[in-house]
Amino acid sequence: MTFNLLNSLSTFTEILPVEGIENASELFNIQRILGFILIGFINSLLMIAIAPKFFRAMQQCGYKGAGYYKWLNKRDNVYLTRIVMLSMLSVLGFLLVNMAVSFINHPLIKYSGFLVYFIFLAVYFRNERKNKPKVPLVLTKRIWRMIISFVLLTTLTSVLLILIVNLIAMPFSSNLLANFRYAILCLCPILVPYLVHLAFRVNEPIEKLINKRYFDACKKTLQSRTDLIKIAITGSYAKTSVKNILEKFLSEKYNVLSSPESYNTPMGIVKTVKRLNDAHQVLICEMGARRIGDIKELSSMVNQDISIITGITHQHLETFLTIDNIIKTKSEIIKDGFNGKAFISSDNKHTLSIYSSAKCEKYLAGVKKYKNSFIYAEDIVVSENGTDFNIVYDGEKYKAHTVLLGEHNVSNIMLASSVALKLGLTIYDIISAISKLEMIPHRLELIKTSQGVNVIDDGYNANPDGVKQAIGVLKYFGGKKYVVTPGIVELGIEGYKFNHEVGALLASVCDGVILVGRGGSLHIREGLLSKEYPTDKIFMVKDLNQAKEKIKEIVKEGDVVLFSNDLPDILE
Amino acid sequence: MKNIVVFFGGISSEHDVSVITGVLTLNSIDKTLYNPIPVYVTKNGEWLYGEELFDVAFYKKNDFSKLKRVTLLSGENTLYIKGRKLKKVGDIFCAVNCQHGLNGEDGTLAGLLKLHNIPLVGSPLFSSSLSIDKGFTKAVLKGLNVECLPCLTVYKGDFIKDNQNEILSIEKEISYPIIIKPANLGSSIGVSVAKDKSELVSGLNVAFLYDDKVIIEKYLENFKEYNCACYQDKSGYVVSKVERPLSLDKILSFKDKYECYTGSLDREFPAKISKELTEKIQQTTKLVYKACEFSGIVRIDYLYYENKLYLNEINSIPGSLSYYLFTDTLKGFTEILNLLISFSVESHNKFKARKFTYQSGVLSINGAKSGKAKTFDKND
Repeated sequence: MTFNLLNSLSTFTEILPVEGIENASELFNIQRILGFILIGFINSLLMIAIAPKFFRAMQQCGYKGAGYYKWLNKRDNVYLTRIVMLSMLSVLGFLLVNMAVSFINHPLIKYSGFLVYFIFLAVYFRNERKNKPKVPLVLTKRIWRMIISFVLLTTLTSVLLILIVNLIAMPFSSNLLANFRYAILCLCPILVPYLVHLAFRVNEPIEKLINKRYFDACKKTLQSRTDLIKIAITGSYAKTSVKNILEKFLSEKYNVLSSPESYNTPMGIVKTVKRLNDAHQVLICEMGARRIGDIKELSSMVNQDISIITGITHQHLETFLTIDNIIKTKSEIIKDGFNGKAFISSDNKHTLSIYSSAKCEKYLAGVKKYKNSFIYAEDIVVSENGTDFNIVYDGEKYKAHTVLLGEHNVSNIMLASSVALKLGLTIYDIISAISKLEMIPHRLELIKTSQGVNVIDDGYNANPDGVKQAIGVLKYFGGKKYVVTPGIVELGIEGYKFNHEVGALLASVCDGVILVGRGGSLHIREGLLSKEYPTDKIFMVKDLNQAKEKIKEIVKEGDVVLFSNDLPDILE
Repeated sequence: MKNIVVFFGGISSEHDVSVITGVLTLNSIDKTLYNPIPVYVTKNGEWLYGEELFDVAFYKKNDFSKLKRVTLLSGENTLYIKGRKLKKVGDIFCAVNCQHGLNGEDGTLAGLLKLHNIPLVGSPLFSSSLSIDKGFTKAVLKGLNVECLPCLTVYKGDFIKDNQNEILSIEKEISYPIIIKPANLGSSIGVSVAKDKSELVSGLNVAFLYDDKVIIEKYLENFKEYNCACYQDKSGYVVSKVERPLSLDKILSFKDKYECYTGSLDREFPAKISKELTEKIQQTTKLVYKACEFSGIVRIDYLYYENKLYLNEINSIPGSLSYYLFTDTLKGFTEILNLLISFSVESHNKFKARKFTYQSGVLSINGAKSGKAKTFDKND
């Protein structure tokens, strides 16, 4: 038995030679190469145990290489630090152990270093298992395909490393270097994040093909549903709000399916259409764009009967470069053979220009009154209890009340109302539905805490106009006013200017500003200081938790705290 | 194309009538707008589906082996064929209830469909349960100030225990001739008239075969019968003209009422009655329909005796859905069905759009600000 074990272990020494290899022909024999592949494969399986964090990051940034590297190269990315430590300690341990036992003359003893590697890996897993991520990795088919590529790539890398060290070791056949050469395998953990990215890149063409199949199937499904009223919503902001409001309105009469959350990509529409039931009468799709042609692609999939344009700002200017490109892209929703009805917001100068040049059947709706307005609002009064306003439609005035805060919400309600009216709802159905609207979590959501503090959670807001509107709402509240914000990041060169403006605006409204992180918040600080805002009312904190602690210290009953715009909570 | 499922047949004694109503309705559904799907409920309560069900001749063969068993799954509006694996027939846009009597007309099916989130052409749970029970109906009508004949309720248990006493108390309240009706049956099955004590006992025995609860009323001779139907659509309540069924028998037999279904029945339509009486019948019909929150087509039967009008019975799923009271043609029936379907779907959606939840926060584990939770599909 023991003999057998030792015998089989000796075969191992054949596979991964400890003794120096004299020449290349000895290295490149089939049996040996197969052996290397086996070792590489085992190593790749070990690396899979490390990789989930990185797969998860890839999944959460929406399979974008740039986003993944942004996360990876974050200054305080502990995952990266940990695997670097794991590799370094393993290499060091390997060398030390191998040196310590080198006097024993047995062929197997030269592999003792691997024991250290295994021990460190085990310790690493044990610690990692303790930290349960907030959003775990979801093992989708796409992730499985990525794992397969990852295994192949890691195996290949390991084999290459073994070959290289053997080739390098060849001239020094029996000296120290030859004995220590396999320590290089212990460096594999460092490569894991990059191998994950490589696996993603390798799979990309296949994924594109697979996605195209999904898109085509989705398009076919939608084409066959001639009985379905298809509605598309685009714009730089308020898409999700208008979608939610419209869904509530139309549900008074129809069986409605709308894209969940902020699904606004082709894949998002595919997922939405999967939920489509024969009994659905209306489909509402949100359409997002980062590049010219995005909306055109989405429109060709959905082939909507009704298009809605909410409002246009500098959002995603990084990828669009100019505002004209944004306007052009959003207009794609009513171009290219679109022969349905267009509903366009009157509360934005860019959408107004789209309205005047639109060639299809078109309706202008919003808070502001214009000559062509289909519907508009008057006498808007905001209070802690919500918003009261008058709807003016067809020459008549109708009173309405909603718990939603602010004029921009009235603007969204008007836009949704115009669509609902054209789809056969009565104005009374709509007023009743308006009174039923509920606050949407993290979108200017008012929470009254048990301590009597009004907390306005606007955590999902990431558009410049929206941030200013949210700050505007503060004036309707009593007590001291505080704002927690990290500033806006995704604005390109406009970012500095905007955050500076926000700072100046905050200076006139707030009794205290808590600035989170060191991104746009620094520019907000400059804006505040430019208005001679006292520095003792500006609090700089590292993260949201610290901000919450700070708030607890300073607020009193009756005060109001606004949590503004996209607070960084992805992954950590 | 939206799927409309028609339920008919059923375990009740009115099974055959229901088949006729069901097949008629199935073939009247507008095929340019909808895809009708028949669900035939057998006398054992099984749900069967097959294209053959559109043909009335098929039922005479009494061989249903070719049909597929179908079912609904909890939380879904989809009809599936049962097999080793469930096979989808279609998602149901709206259902039409053509099952008379037990399990159809009593609200059972309406409740089931409500659980499955399926709009229904036909009366809802509460109204159906109310109108199937003649005793409860009278109690509610009293509250609405609608005249109906005074009645007694006899329970099977009491009658078996002490039939002498029961008979005596009946005789004390109501003089012969007496009419005996099972409380929960929609048609004339089990109904009899007693002129003396022995007929009363045998009549009760027959009625107790069909129900544990029996309604006893004074039998009116030389009464006139009037029927009037009502439905609701987008435009409001639509009340039919008044019909006077004529029959040689004292009581309408099962045969008269249903076997010749399209109005070849001996009748006077519209009934030759005064304008006042017509209006009274129509107004009462609308009042009862509205107050008891019926939906779909409901037919109300009246008795007219000694210049007084009595509401006799409410049929929440009348034979042939009483379409012949509204229109002469099957095309007209198709149009009514279109109106009923779209109205039912709209009301159902309106019901769904009601606020059901109030966020109590009792079960929410996360605080005010939880992380942006993303969801991922199987394929992404």
